[in-house]
Amino acid sequence: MATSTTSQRGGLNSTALALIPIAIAINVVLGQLVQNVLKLPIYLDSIGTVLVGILLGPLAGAITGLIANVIWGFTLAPSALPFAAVAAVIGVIAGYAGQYGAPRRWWLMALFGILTGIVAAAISAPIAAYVFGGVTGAGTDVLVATFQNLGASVLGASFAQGAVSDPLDKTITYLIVWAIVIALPRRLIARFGNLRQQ
Amino acid sequence: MQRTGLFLERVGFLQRLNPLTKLTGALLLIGAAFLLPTPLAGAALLVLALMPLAVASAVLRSFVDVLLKTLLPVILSLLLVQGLFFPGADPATIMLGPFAFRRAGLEFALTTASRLLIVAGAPLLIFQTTHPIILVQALTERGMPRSIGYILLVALQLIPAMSERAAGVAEAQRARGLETEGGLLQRARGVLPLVSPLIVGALVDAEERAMAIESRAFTAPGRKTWLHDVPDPPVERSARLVMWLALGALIVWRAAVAVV
Amino acid sequence: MPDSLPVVELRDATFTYAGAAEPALRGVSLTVPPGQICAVVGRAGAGKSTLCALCTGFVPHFYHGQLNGAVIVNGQDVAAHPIAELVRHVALVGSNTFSQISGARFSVYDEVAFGPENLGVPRHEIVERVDWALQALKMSHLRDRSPYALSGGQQQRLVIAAALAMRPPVLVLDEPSVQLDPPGTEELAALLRALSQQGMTILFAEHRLEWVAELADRVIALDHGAIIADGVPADVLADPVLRRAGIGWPRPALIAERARREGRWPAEHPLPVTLAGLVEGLAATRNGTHCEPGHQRNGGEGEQGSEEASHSNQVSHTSLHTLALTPPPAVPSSTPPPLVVLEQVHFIYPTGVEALRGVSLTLGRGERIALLGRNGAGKSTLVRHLNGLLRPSQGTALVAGNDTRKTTVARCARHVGIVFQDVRNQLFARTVRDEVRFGPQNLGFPPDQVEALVERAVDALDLRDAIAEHPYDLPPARRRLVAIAAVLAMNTPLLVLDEPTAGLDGAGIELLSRLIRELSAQNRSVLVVSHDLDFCYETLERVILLREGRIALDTRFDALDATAITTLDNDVGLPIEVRLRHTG
Repeated sequence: MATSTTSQRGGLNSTALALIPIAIAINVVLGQLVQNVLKLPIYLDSIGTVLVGILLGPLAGAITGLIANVIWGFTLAPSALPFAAVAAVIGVIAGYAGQYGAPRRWWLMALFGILTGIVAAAISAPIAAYVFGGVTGAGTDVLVATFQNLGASVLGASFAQGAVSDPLDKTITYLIVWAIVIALPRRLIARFGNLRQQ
Repeated sequence: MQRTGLFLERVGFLQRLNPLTKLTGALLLIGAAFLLPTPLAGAALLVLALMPLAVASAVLRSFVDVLLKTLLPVILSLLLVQGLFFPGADPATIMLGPFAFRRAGLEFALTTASRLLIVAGAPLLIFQTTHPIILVQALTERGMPRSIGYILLVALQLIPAMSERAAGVAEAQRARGLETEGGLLQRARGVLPLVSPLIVGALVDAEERAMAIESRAFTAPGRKTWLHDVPDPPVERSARLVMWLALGALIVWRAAVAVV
Repeated sequence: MPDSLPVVELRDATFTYAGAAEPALRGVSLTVPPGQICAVVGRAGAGKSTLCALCTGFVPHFYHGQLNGAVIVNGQDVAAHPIAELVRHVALVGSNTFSQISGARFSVYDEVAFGPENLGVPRHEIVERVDWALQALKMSHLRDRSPYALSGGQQQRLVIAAALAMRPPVLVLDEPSVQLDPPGTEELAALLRALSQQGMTILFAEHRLEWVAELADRVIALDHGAIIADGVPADVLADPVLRRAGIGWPRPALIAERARREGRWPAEHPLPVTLAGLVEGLAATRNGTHCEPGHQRNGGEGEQGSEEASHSNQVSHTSLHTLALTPPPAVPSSTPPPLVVLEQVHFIYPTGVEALRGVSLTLGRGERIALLGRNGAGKSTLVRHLNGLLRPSQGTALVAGNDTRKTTVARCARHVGIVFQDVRNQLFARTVRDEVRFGPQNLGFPPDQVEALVERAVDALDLRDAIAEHPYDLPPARRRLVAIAAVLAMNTPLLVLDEPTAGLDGAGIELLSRLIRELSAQNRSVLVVSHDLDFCYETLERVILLREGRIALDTRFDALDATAITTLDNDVGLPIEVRLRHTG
């Protein structure tokens, strides 16, 4: 975060303050766009979070994820609120991915996507199991049922379900962000300072 | 989608309260739903607390509406998945038609569903009765960083605009021959041309927005003024104290019961 | 007295953006006295925006780089003070109003108060300031509305009100007219004049020279970052140096110059820069000589005139390539089928708004068509029926003979290419070349033909030097040309351009004008939706006026009779040349 004149409490400068709300809106809107127009079986509801993490660092990434979930609760489903911590961690990991220079190689991004997916599954499992009884009301509940039928506990089945679906979604998310970031004009990359010089 | 989220422009009891009071109340209710020893505590609290509050705030209908819409699929799935596949030693089953439901699973599902009513219902009632800017101001005056409140409010208002932009991108690219119908691979090829202009355009916007933020002195150091007041009468402050004490007592009592 | 002191003073200011090889401003010296309205004109990339950013501190505090020389605004050394302090002395209003609305407040009143709140101004004073600013912008009645529920012109006023609430003595506007329609620009001009009469100093960058001529007290012309002319509009805007630099002249000056060549404007008279000056001058000449009014004003005159104007208007460094686009597909000698046929098309949005109420229209080959109408007349809805993006609620739309209900947009895209107004929705590739390639590739042309189409389109829009650049690394005006090239390369028989001249400089508009003529010579058709009536009149032939979802007029510019002229004038106004004929 090196470019702007004034920074303030929370360590966010004007560029971050401008970008984060946009990224949150992107999270919400892209999910709909991909599902309504293209009807693809992925969610892509954390593209904005990963993008901010990569461009502006872990703190900005965490804030994006956190507030995106609060917004989700505010506008559509208050039941999303308990998962805010998961979204924040996704943003933090993306921040480190940016600092590590992951966008240099597509496969590094894919690795970070898989890692994010596994971590996200691990953190959301206790919340899903304890608060939601392991289910979300979506098609992935079939997986939970299958794992429990195979002898897993509610917590274990929640994690197993997440470990199956999250890495795929997060890998695709990271690869899309990769394709966008490498195609950014130089001027913008210079303004969003988290990326290591390539 | 409206720019104030779930908020409804109504006049009633909760609308007059300070947001901090409502948040404390929500916390107490959620705590009670998890800590009270009866499995249907949540359902009881919904009927005895949330619904009367919704009536007093003139939002009952949409409160029940949104709550059902968000929770019904979860609760049905809960009953099916945990009713049929609950892991546990208890062999007792209840036959419903050809399906053998496990009794322990159904109990687990009902307890969880009952808690969910409060976990989702309490915040929902706050969102429906609190204008976002009042909530943000109340929290900021209590020490939340201004930037967090700013981001929350702006994001809320940007979502409809971003939706319009997304529709515009889809139109522009379809007009350039992008096929958005067809097989999975065909549609997958459309992801970047649809996602990319939205994001790159948004990043360019972000630069202009950053300039606007500086123009409006948001990042200037020093004291800030709030144009409006969020009232916080002494009676509400006392009420909050009582609620915190009640929550504390509940925790202590549960801990004591668990030790014994 | 402070009156004698300049409010804005630049002494030999040179600025180079970080990472750039060339300075964006070179040795600019400028003093602006209080209350003056000072316009900055120049081609895209000439340094106008940089000058605006420099006078407000965004250069060098937000856009970094090397600044030499002194910049003093209202007694403050810009380089030595952070933006947060400078905002009390000078305000910057950009062309994109949407991104300047904070979004952190939910009513017009609170939005205007947001800046003073952040400065920690006491509450009673905020109330005074907001009331004053809203009154100055005549928007007190909108105080409780959501900022996002305002029209484009109202939003621009809101952004200015929000800037004024900071109480700066200097207001800087960067291309304020880009997003405004003609009534909006007139409103803005009246507002800026009123502010200057109250003592506010105003500096604005602008492409529309006619508007500059009407509004400014003084004009500064920039070329490659240096001042090439500075003085009152009457002198600067008719200075030959502006045409040599590719900035051009306002239309009244061009028309008078043509009249001078035809002996209808005395050689000793200076060329007028405003319409009033032109009308007056022509009238005086007519009374003095025996020139028959209307004598030479037959239908095609306007077009020939502009053709001459564009030939004489030399573009200094761009070479306009011969537009050797693909030869038109062999058309059978029998009457060719029309490109698009709309029959009794009605369209009702899901919200219940009936945007089209029985539109019947045939678009043939080789046509140059202007689609005009007020905001909300149904232009956007109609355009979306030309390639199946929207399908009629009632009636039929045939694209190349195919009912749009029975085909896909992607298939219609072979016949009709549309460039929408918001270029950002379109651009996504890493280079201009990749961007232009996307369309023809989607249409399934063989690879060698795709490359040939790309090359031709790039040349047609004079983008050869930028072909490997990122579209977003180009100035906004050239981004629009990239978007046009990307659709042009699809080689469709019909090309639709939505507000193509918005933000373009004189040279860009001329390029576009030639392209449209070339296309129609190749039997391809172009339909333009635009508020720029003069451009339409000079470049296009057929004019379609929409009003409340119906076609109010469908004729040729050279066949406008008195009734048609009145109809046009009532809805969208008149091109300068028609107005001249009508009133003169």
